[in-house]
Amino acid sequence: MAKVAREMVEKAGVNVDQLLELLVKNASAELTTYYYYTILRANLIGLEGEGLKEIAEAARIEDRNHFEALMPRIYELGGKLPDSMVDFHNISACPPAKLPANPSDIRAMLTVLVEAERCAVRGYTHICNLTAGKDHRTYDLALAILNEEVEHESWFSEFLGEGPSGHFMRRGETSPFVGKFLR
Amino acid sequence: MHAPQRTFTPRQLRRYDGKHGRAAYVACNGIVYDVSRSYHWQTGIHWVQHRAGCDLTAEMTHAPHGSDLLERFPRVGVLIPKTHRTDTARRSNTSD
Ligand code: HEM
Ligand code: HEM
Ligand SMILES: [Fe+2]
Ligand SMILES: [Fe+2]
Repeated sequence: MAKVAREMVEKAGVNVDQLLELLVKNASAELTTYYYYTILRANLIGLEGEGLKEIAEAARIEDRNHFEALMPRIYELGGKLPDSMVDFHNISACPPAKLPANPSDIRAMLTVLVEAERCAVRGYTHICNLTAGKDHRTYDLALAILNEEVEHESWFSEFLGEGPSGHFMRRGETSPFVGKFLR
Repeated sequence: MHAPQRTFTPRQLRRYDGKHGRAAYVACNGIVYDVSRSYHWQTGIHWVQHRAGCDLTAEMTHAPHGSDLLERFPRVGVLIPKTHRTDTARRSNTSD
């Protein structure tokens, strides 16, 4: 644990144990999403699926990066990841992004993808709200992740006919916002 | 609308806390919803802070979503404003 780092957050009035529980649950959501998106991406095939494969891949890699970026902050604040990966899976802040019964139903695939991203956007907005002006480092991290989650939501929502999102797919390196936490 | 509405006092609502296989009910703006089948309300806890069995109208203002998400779940009744004294008189409709 980084003793003073935790003390500063406590002194600012944040309930650190509650915050840690949220961070662990969201770290689980990231790693489980990475896993479930692997299966979704593998099934994005054919005329309609192929166009989404690249985007699902960028979202998948960035979610794994989010897990990697959250982990050090959890330990700094005196928290830890569960010993059992089964337990870790089961406490995810968002439901599993399971492959639809009919993977060639492109709308069903997109719905799973966009709902996972929306859960993440809401979750990180909440963590930003809890930490703003109090826990600067967690806030900076949650905001960086939020920036990427909003882009993920945008990419998928366009395909659902919700109008233009103003975004282009990821170009260059993945995780332009979270990258600084990965070095 | 047709059948008489089931009513809950705050104390009666407390029973539906989602623990030990009990149903998870939450109240918002006077309506009681059954969120038992939601992934997000497993064991009656929602996003670390919130507990089933409670009136969460005030908490909803700070949520990163609106009360429309509750409409995905069955309405099971209405919450009567808090009345310690009449609680026992209304016990008859807590049966389940
Ligand atoms: C700090 C407060 C809260 C946070 C951070 C929070 C967070 C969330 C998140 C991230 C979701 C997932 C939404 C999605 O998938 O797009 C969700 C869903 C939901 N929340 Fe909350 N929430 C809060 C307060 C509340 C309150 C007070 C209530 C009830 C009165 C509530 C009821 C629900 C319901 C019914 C759902 C839908 C669940 C489902 O579809 O299975 N939330 N919440
Ligand atoms: C260890 C924790 C708690 C204890 C010891 C406790 C104790 C009590 C007591 C003694 C009463 C008055 C009962 C009566 O008037 O006959 C009461 C009422 C109530 N409690 Fe709790 N309580 C606890 C936790 C909670 C929690 C977490 C909630 C919310 C989810 C809650 C919601 C209520 C409500 C809604 C009432 C009725 C209030 C009213 O009608 O004005 N309680 N509680
Ligand atoms: Fe993510
Ligand atoms: Fe994402």
